Amino acid sequence: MKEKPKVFGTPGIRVCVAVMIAVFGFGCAGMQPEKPKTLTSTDRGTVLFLDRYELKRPPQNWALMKNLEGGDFELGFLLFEKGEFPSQTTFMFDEEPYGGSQDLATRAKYYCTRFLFNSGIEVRVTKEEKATIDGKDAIALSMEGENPNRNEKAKSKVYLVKKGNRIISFVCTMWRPMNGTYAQEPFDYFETFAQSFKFLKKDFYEGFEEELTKAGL
Amino acid sequence: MAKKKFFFMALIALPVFLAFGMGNGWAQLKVGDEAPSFSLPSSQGKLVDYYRDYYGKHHLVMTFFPAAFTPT
Amino acid sequence: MDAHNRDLYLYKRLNAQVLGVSMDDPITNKFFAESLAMEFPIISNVVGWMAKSYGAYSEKPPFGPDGSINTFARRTVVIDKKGIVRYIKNGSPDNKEILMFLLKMEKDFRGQK
Repeated sequence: MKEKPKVFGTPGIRVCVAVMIAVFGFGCAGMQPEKPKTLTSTDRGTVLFLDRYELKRPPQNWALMKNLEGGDFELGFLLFEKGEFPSQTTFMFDEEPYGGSQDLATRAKYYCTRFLFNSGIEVRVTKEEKATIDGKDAIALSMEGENPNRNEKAKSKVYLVKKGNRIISFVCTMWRPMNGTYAQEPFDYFETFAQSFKFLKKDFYEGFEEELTKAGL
Repeated sequence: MAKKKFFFMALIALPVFLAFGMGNGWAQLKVGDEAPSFSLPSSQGKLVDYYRDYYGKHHLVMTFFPAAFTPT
Repeated sequence: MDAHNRDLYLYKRLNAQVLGVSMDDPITNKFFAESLAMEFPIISNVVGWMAKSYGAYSEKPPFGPDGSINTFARRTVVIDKKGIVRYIKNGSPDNKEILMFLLKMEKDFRGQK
């Protein structure tokens, strides 16, 4: 008769198993390689996004959205709200808003024709006024639109800001079902975000223009 | 005998197929090649001619896109 | 194509100009250009031979199985002022990459003077 090997009987094995449980049970996070933190808190009530921007973020129930490889935006926040789909708000910093003109008014006019164009919503501008963001000239656009076929509507606030020879943007869009009610609070957090936004270093284009000057071009 | 004949014909046909299949008999454009010249009507109401408008004067960035009003 | 428009002031400093090439006729291209407020020309290559020469058909044949002309693929090409192809990239243009390439190319040109 073969004797079953007493694997868990030996003290050495018991210790090993206990250690393994402890490590995996408690230390899983610690075991993973450290990912570089995208948002670091300061003691000024702001956060730093990598080494690029300083801003006031919305509360922790807003998820961070980042897109570092290029795309429609670089940094933003998303909030899933109570209510029927779609009930959510996103806001973001978009370095290259629709359009090509360097003139704010012209860019704004074109921007409104493209904004939300692929969502089936035709926006109407409810308010357009001059503004200042980070000491720079800006235009503030308030827009709204509906798509009854998909039972959704959207309300947006956009700042188009003149930064050197480029125009950048801060965009907030709130989605609701057709019978939903728009809320004010997410827009307040967006205002804080946009108004607090600081650039910590030169962007690509500023750096590039300097290179051109250095090269005598 | 028939099999051998078929094999032999395939051996000749294959490179011919490949030559046409790859680039349709045209050499693929490579960096370092001379740019093919062109003279085509433009959206600005005039003819754009490479040698008249760009050669010797400006570098040219040309983007091919399939159709107007598609996402660019 | 928006991005090219945004970079026109930089292309000017780099002694570069921009052209769009599409398969549409000049009138369609005119309306398209106006809708995007594009300040550079779009040339019409309805029959697609230009795209063939420039390899915009590198990933599919110029003619479909029924003999109709296939739409060509996106491709950006940079030709220096001596008429030599210096840069080829498939897909949507990477505008920052193009700018940096043009800078290097123009610096090389000036270095040769």
